[in-house]
Amino acid sequence: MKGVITKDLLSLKQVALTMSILMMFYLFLGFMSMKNSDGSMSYLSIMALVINVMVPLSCAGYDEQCGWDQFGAALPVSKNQIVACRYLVNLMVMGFTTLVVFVGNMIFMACGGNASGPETYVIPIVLSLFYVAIITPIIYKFGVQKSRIIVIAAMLLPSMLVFALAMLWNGSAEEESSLLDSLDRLASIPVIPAFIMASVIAVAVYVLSLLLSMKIYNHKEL
Amino acid sequence: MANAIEIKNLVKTYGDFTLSIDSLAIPSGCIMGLIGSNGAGKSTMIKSILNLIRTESGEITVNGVSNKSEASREDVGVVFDEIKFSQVFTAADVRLILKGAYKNWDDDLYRQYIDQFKLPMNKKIKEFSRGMKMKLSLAAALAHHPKLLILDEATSGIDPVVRDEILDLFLEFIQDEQHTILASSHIISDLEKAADYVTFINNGRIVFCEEKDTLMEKYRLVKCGNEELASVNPADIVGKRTNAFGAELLMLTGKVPEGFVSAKAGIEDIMLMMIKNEA
Repeated sequence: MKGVITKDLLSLKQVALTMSILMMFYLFLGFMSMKNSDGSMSYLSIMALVINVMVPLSCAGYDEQCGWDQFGAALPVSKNQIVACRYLVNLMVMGFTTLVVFVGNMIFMACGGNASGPETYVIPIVLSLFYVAIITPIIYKFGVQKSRIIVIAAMLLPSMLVFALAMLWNGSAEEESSLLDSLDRLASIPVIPAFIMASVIAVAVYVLSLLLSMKIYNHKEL
Repeated sequence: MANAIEIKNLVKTYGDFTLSIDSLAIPSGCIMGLIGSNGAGKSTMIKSILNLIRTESGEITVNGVSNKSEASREDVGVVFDEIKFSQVFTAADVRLILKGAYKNWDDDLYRQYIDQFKLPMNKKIKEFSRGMKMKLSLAAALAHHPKLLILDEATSGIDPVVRDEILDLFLEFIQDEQHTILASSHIISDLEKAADYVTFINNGRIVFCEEKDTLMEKYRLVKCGNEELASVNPADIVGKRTNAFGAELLMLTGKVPEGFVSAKAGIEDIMLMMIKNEA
């Protein structure tokens, strides 16, 4: 498994410079916002989310380009292990980007910026877990090239889920005002329990996604 | 002698193509050449052995272990027709990846092959020539001390000098009687030089699997005019190529009529004549 993880990390090394430049840029934007009363490092958090979602696409893209899958399957690792490695690499990158956001926030606060709440870390991680969980099985099923459009569409799923929840809560979505009311009521849920609930759901979806990807990959002709 | 690969009742279907192998055993310590035209089933057979595809039926063992077990792949080195590492990797990256994949990975042996092939350790693969890429694939396939080396069209598109170098390496590898090579190739002259056995696949079925020397003794190429052709029993003709002046026949050595001019048949002649006869 170590070899497969190493391969993914080496692939990511190729895009690491671009990602680092982007993160530095958004770190800089965060510092520029310091003079505003509501200045924060939220830009950096959004960038972390974007990077986390790009990882499975980048890794799969490099693999597809050179036909790695055939070679990988000829190594003494099971197909399940190969898939598990990809999910592990995703988590490693999420951990790394969260660390960057954390360090950025610490510097921001040390320089006199506003203190940031847990949402700065929880929201990008939860959304990353959701997005990666949705797109990874699609990539395994259709490949990077074919799944681009589906992936873009799938990115809308979490927002659609929030609207669906709001509609369910309200019982009807016919009136725009009542839908907005429901969204307000969703937003009024206490932050900490909501974060805990969202994190638990995100982890569960991530695990389910892993199992689904394993099933797809095991049935795939290489 | 134990078998490196055993295949029983293998069936794999792709649309209207079916690979069907009732039984095939590749003995340890030999080089088995796999020949056949494009789409004959060579790559499908290799993919089945490596468990890369799902077969409808069949049992395959590699070094006595089911091919479905990951352990069976610990002693197998594979070289495909193209290098399967990202073009942005270097030989040093390949080392890092495979070191973490194989229990028996031998860093010194890998470096030895890299030096022997005069490959740069830190240059990106995309800057390598095709020959260099194949040499790197071979170094990667051999550096974990495999017992079985599987090559799928690994020598195609490579110049004769590099091919010769690679063939020498195969012969060196096979010195250990526990080592086996299964090589599919369109370059039959290479197999004629190196192979001990030859398996010919056509339309998804094994036409023959024989010892190379026996095979080349078994058939003769007979050139004859139209009058002589008329006197030959059609049942004795294995393959036929006709022209305006007569024909070239592939016949079993013992069946060549007296007085006919015959010559040794090469593997390519045997393959071509048999394909034409089946068509």
